[in-house]
Amino acid sequence: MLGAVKRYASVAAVALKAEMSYSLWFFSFGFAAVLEVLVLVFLWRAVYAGDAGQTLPVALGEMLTYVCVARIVHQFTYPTGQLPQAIRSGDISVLFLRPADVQLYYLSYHLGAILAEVARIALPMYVAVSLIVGPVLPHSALALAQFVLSLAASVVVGFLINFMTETLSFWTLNAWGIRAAREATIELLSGSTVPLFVFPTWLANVVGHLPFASTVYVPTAIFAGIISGTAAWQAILGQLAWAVVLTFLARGLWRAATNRVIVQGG
Amino acid sequence: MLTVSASLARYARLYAAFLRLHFKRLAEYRGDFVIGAVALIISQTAGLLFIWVIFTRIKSLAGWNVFEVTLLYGLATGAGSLARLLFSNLWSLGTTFVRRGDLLRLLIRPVNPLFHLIAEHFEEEAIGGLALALALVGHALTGLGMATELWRWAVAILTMVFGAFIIGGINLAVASLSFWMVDSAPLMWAVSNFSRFARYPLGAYHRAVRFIVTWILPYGAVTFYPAHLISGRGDAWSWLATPGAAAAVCLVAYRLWLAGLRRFEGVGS
Repeated sequence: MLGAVKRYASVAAVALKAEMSYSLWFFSFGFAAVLEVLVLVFLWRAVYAGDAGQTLPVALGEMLTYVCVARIVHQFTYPTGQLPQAIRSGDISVLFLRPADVQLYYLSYHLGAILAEVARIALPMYVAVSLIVGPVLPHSALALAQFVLSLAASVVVGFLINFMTETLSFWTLNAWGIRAAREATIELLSGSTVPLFVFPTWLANVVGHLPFASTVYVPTAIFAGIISGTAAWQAILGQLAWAVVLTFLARGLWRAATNRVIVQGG
Repeated sequence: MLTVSASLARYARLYAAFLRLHFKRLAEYRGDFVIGAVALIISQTAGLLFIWVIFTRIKSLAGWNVFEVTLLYGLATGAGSLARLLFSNLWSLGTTFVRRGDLLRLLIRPVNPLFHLIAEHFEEEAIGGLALALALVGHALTGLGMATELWRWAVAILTMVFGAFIIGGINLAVASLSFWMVDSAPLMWAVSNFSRFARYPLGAYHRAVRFIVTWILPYGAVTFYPAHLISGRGDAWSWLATPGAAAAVCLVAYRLWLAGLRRFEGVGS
């Protein structure tokens, strides 16, 4: 057991080092993300200023907290791109020979990369946004604790969504197109650009029952105090349920894809 | 004059030859083209959902109604897609052409190296974004009751062309920094994200932001200023910002490119 932990921890360590070497890219991604937040902050302020009927369900302060945190949490949904690269180059065959579970291997890599992401992008973004927009604080101490739990679940669900779409690289060479389509879907349905609570009710109901809401919406809404108390615990349970379901779906898809490779003898 | 038109004709023929070559190579990956084009269309849906959702709550955003904002978004998508279609090789200037030295291959040929760099790559997937842009402009003009006035369509399309040159020019200027810092692509990414502001009315932003996207990185001239003329908000002269900014940006960018090229040749690497 300890041996296994050590093995996967070393995978994460390699990722941490590799990711650290692209400092300028990290800076630019963070900078661009801050600009994205600023656009939304300005626009929501203008929306609240023009909302004479007071039809928006949350106060401006909560909305701005949501917008800032959502973009930071969204950052954790980005894949490392290791899997499609390995499939394209054929390096994946080496992994078949290793005594490692492919899903756990890439999850460990993803977690290592996220540690770099926290240091290089999430924290600087948090500081920059707090300086420009004003302090971005959790609704309560309980909300912060629930946020941390929910964020952990969100990272796993995000990883599984990526793993499944990346498995599709066995069928198409256009990894870029699949990645762009997935990122667009996450941006649209995760609540990272538009929070679910401002959707029309029917749409919020549909989107709320998809796994994408588990990645950004749930942890962010908990942080901002929009989901709280028992509802927050229920939402976290919902995330865990998605993590379990997607784990099995991803494994099934992976088996289907790799059977195909082995049949082709590639 | 005769030599100018003769060389223009020569470059047009060359560009056509590059295109033919590109599409021959592409014929093998038809499914990939569809995936890419669809991906580019749906990558705009989050922004469109945002517009739709906020306008279920309010009537106007910084004084612009839903159709006027849709027009802004359509112009931004159109110019952005066109720039992507034509000028996306600029993104590889640092990694492929300066660091790996591929630029040398371009320098020994009897054509303008910048033309060669740009013509060598054609990102056909961006056609999906162009189609979406025209649909958005059509939707906006229909909503404003102006869809039958053809001159508005013409100005919108002309705006997208000039807008593509503004975006391409800014990208060229930043890409040229690669001659000094090996790879400026991360900076291009940071700079190009300022164009996000131009998808919505500039009146919603702090004046510092308005100043930047008007005078320093004139993305506002891609959407906001020309939209006044197209949507009949008055202030027709503000359209002049678009060709003006395109000319200014391209001139500055080309000088930077030439300076960088001299440095590249000087080092002899």
